Amino acid sequence: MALLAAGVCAAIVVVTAIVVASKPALPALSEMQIRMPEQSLFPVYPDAAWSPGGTDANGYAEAASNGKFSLLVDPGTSQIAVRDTRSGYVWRSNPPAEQLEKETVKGLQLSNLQSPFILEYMTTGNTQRNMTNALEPKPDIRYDTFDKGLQASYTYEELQLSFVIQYELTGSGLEVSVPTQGIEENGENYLLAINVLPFFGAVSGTEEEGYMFVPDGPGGLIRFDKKRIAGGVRYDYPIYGDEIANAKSPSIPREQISYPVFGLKRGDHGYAAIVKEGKYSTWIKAVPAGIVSTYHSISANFVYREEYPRKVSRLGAPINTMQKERIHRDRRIEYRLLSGEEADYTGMAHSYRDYLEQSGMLGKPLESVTHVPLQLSVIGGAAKVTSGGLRYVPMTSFKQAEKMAGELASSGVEKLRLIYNGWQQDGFVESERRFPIEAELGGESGAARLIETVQAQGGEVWFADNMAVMDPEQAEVSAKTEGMRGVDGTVVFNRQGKFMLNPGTAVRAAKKTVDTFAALGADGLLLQGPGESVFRDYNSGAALEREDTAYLYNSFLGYVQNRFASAGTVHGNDYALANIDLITELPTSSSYDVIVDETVPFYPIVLHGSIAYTAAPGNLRQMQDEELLRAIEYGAVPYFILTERPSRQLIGTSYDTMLYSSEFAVWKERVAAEYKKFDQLAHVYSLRISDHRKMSEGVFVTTYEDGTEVTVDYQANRFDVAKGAAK
Amino acid sequence: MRNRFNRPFPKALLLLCMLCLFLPDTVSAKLPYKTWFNDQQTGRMITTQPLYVPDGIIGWDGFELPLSAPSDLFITKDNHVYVADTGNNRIVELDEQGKFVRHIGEADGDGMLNQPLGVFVTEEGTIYVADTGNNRIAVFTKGGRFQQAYGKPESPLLPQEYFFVPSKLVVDVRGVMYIVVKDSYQGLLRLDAKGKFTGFFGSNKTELSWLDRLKRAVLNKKQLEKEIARRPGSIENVALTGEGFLLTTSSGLSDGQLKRLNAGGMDAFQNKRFNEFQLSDAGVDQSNFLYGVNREDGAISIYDPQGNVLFYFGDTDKTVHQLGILSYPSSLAVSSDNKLWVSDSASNTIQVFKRTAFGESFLTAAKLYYEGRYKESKPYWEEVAKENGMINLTFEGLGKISLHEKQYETAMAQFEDAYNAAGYSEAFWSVRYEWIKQYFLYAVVGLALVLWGGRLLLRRTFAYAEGRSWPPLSVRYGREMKDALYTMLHPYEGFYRLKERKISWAILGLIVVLAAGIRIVSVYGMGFIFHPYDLSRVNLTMSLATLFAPWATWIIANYLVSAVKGGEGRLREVLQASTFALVPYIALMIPVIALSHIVVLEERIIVDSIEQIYWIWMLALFFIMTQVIHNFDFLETVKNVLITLCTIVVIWIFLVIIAGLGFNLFDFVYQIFREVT
Repeated sequence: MALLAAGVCAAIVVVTAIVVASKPALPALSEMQIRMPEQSLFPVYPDAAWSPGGTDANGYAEAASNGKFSLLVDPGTSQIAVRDTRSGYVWRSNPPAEQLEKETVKGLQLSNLQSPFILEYMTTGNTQRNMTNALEPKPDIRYDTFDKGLQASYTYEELQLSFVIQYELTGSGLEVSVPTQGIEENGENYLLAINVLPFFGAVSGTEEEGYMFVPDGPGGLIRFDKKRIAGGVRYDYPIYGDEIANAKSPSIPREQISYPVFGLKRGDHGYAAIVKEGKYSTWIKAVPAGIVSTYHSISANFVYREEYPRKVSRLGAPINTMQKERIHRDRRIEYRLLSGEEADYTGMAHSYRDYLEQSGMLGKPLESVTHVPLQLSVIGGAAKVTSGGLRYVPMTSFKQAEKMAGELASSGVEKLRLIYNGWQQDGFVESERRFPIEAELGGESGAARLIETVQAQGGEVWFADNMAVMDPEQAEVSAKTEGMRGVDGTVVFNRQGKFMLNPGTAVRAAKKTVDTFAALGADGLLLQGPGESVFRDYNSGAALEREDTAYLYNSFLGYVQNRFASAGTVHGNDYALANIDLITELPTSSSYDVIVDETVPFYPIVLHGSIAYTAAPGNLRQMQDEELLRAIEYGAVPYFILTERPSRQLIGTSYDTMLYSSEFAVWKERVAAEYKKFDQLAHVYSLRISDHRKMSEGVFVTTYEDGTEVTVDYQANRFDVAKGAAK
Repeated sequence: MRNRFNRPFPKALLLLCMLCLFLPDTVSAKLPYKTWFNDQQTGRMITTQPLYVPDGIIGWDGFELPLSAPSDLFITKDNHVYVADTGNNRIVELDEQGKFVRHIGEADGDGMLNQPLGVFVTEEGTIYVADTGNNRIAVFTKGGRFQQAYGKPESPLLPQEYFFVPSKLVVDVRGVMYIVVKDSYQGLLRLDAKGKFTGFFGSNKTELSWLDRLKRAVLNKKQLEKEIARRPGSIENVALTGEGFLLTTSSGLSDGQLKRLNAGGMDAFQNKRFNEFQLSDAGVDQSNFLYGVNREDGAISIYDPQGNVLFYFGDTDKTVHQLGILSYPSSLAVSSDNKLWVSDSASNTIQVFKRTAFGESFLTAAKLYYEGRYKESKPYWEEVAKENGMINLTFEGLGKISLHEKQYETAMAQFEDAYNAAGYSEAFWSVRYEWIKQYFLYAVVGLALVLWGGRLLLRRTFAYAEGRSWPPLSVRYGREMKDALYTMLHPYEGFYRLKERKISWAILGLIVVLAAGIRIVSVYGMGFIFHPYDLSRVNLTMSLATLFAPWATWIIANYLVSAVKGGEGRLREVLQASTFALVPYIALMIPVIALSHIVVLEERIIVDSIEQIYWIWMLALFFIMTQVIHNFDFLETVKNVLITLCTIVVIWIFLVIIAGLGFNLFDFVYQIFREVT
């Protein structure tokens, strides 16, 4: 009997070994020169005690100065201020005390107004979130100096919590850091979040003209002079969207934040605040006057632990639970102070663009072109859900794509950038099993010929691939081993039964796409996933932070850019900008927030000239005329997603939730006509946007660095391009 | 054809689909909500471009006193909007931009309002208010001065315990008031222009569950009195359409949630079942399209004039952060420029939605189509088809136009795209007619030639076959095939010949394979009017199983039963005979498939009756088979067949139970495996 059992065991081992060995191993990350970075942490300065000298009339003592700015501290309350040495303008972390006398809020809300931070914590065994600040209860405050800065350490004896905030002056303003090494939790209390400088530059009511800038869609403004709806509606959202590993219940769709910037303009002064470190777990919070206090305030909230719904049983409602492990990341935010001309959203965008350039996060500038490229995505094939399993639906063969290119060229499209989607075998676009290229479309040789033909016409051929969302029916990897795991350790499936692929595996599996198409001579690769989704993976043993996911994706984009002339992503979160040349479907509208009064092209101003971007596909606009004008106003390049066969045949595939009209024959003429409109902007393709302003209701002017002015009139449904004197 | 929109589908499922925004979606969400329709073919929720987009949110900016729990809207001919501003005890008038014009309701005296829930303004401008808190209808002049009030009417017909809590009202041209009384099951309370009670109107039907029915059947009168009385659901909202119909909405009912009542109280929708169970209000535009707002999911549904749902859009959130999202919608009204105004009593706002260019084209096209103005609808349908290739109705509309223009072939293709059998059949009739006109003579001559030639060929072949010596196996197969055909026409004699004889497996197999093959051909190869649906939805295994599973169970059951009951037949004989009984299916299905391509819908009966014939034929063969093979007399056979049928049922019940238990066991082992690994 024992012998039999041993035999069976041996057989199982052998079979498993054979199965494992026969499965082709994915290439290692090192084959793409990707190495996970060592994490280096910000230092804490324990013993360089600073003693304030004399204080000025406002109670401030100077703590540091760099010629342009000086850092002032009120040693009692630890409120800070930055003085512009040239103009004498002072930015305060909190409203001045005499102004607060008029304030009607009381208790914690009033003391919050006087504190340079708001701290949220939780006590073990208690699900209630507690709030405290630098006044209630008053912590022990200690100051130390370093280089050009000052460190304030706060210790709550009773809560057994302590942390430090470091202030440092930079060439353009103030940098505020919260090093993770400075955080200590010694008792039963756990840190949830630190909201640093919650009232930096806060404006009371309409005492000054201006607005708060929030990173909603392309950029949104919350004006000071608007009356607000009662009921506490505020802007409070995480950078890069909600954490999907924390499996919160789905909420109303909105444009996720894709760049870690917020700003404030008051009169002739303003700032752009850039979250430099820890942006993956930072929320941006804007509270207009009338919601909590009479102050308009905008700030970054550094989150250390997130709440998630923990499923106790399959049927019961989940219980909100707090993440156990603290997020061990340093946090840093820079307030770049602006004044005069630059103290508006264009100035904020310029300031952020400068930062990206200085830190090498914005790739090389685009080269000038004589004609704007038309991004034409075509869908090769898709997998349709039928009662007998997935069935292949061919939509556009390589030959048909060639014909499209030819027809467009003869109808006046001077430069084509053909992006071929759905080339995967069996139309498995939500799978890591992609090859061979679907034979029914023409296979590898068909792809090669398409590339040759289009390139001979002076166009480009790109291929598209999806790296993140996997359909278990299509994918070969098992969700169990390679799927993203949620905070409770189980694989997270959405309601359509799809899962997110572990980013490491995703990158390794996608190498073949790069290598194959690079060998075929394609011009570029457009990737879905890396530009839009960052998430944690709680897979035990190989847990990833959002930073790691972004790093892996970004490194992969680097590998793509090495092998191809260009690379692109669908949507474009800021971390990917260094390695891409094209972003498709850049949001051009906001999330329709009740409190966001105006949508402005902040992100386009940052990108234009460095990265080409498209708005929503021309054939899938929600509002044709408005969106076309918006694309032109925002300096986008033309984009369509088309198919040879009628879109109707896509019913039953994953495309039927988006591709409601895509037949080439139906769209051909409109594509050519629209191309001619966009082509009027060809000469500004590689230029930066120097200004954007509203002329009158519904009329906007975008100015480029050569002086070209593009005036868009939504009321008359027209636009004009006034060429500037070329430099 | 339009009835296909009628088919109910689970709303809950639909919601699930709409909430799948959990992992990032492919195309970025621009509007905070989706616009979608239910594809009848696949049951999928298909997203389209919006028909309505947010146009603004009203309620605090420009208001000295912000709106508080607005619960009713009325839009006048000149697009001024009257709001029952319940929380502020007043009626507010807004202009078409949503700007505050004035408020109605006096600070003290008779004109003081208390929690008014409804407002109606007549053509002359008289303002009727359902002054809920004061249990009266308050009437104000055009200028906003209090004129008179109507309390609970005095009438012997009204029970003493009837509480007059008016929440909504409409007033018709004669001045008759139709009043929604809160939580009253009797329906709308009707008061004439003088305030005299003239009866209840348009009450809902009592819904009885099967348990109630059982109780009614079983319990005696005394026991029944102790039961809580079942009452019809109460009407929640009422609106007056341009043509003088009353549109009532009721929530929490399983049918008749939306009714269009004529002056006699008859529902034009015939108590139709809607899938929107929590409609809080509905409105109608000038083209008679209806718009309902759902409290449960914040979705607004758009219906055609017959009450078939076309589209949904919208979403709900506890706190309203985004435009177009509703928290607790209380009322919906349509302005003459087709904007939808929706009051939200939880967020104290009114949201306005405006029609998009696509919405305008689609709804205009659909309107003209429903009115039968096909020619006028053409440019609109063409525009819609350009913008959206997914909606069946577009192709239906285009098909009708092609039909009108006598483009029959195009019409056929378009109706096929729309999965519309009736239209297709109509177009096909014309095509066929043209064809017959042109080729009838040739066809007759050709057919005669084919028949004559075929007969000749057949004879020659037989003559040749008989004149030749064949290997013994072929002779056997040939004879067996002949017997199979012979049995079909002469069952008694044929089955008798089968006794004590072994038909070769090859021939039995051949018959089964042929039957299966014909089945497959019948699934995919029938003419379009016999399968006006997407063929990829067909479950081939299932359709084969529906033929062969009963057949196989019959063989087993028949043998088992007969063996016990003293039948003579052995299993082999039962199998042989049952297989032979499949022959009529094969023989008759071939002409059925051929005919299905020739007939139009009206002649469908030919095909259907042939299908019925072969079923009857097969059943007869099974019966005779039992009689002959087991050597029963007629009554014995009847008994035996009945017992066999019972046995079949038992076998299936048994199989289902085994399968269920087996699955549970498998799941149990699998879950353990999952736990362990």
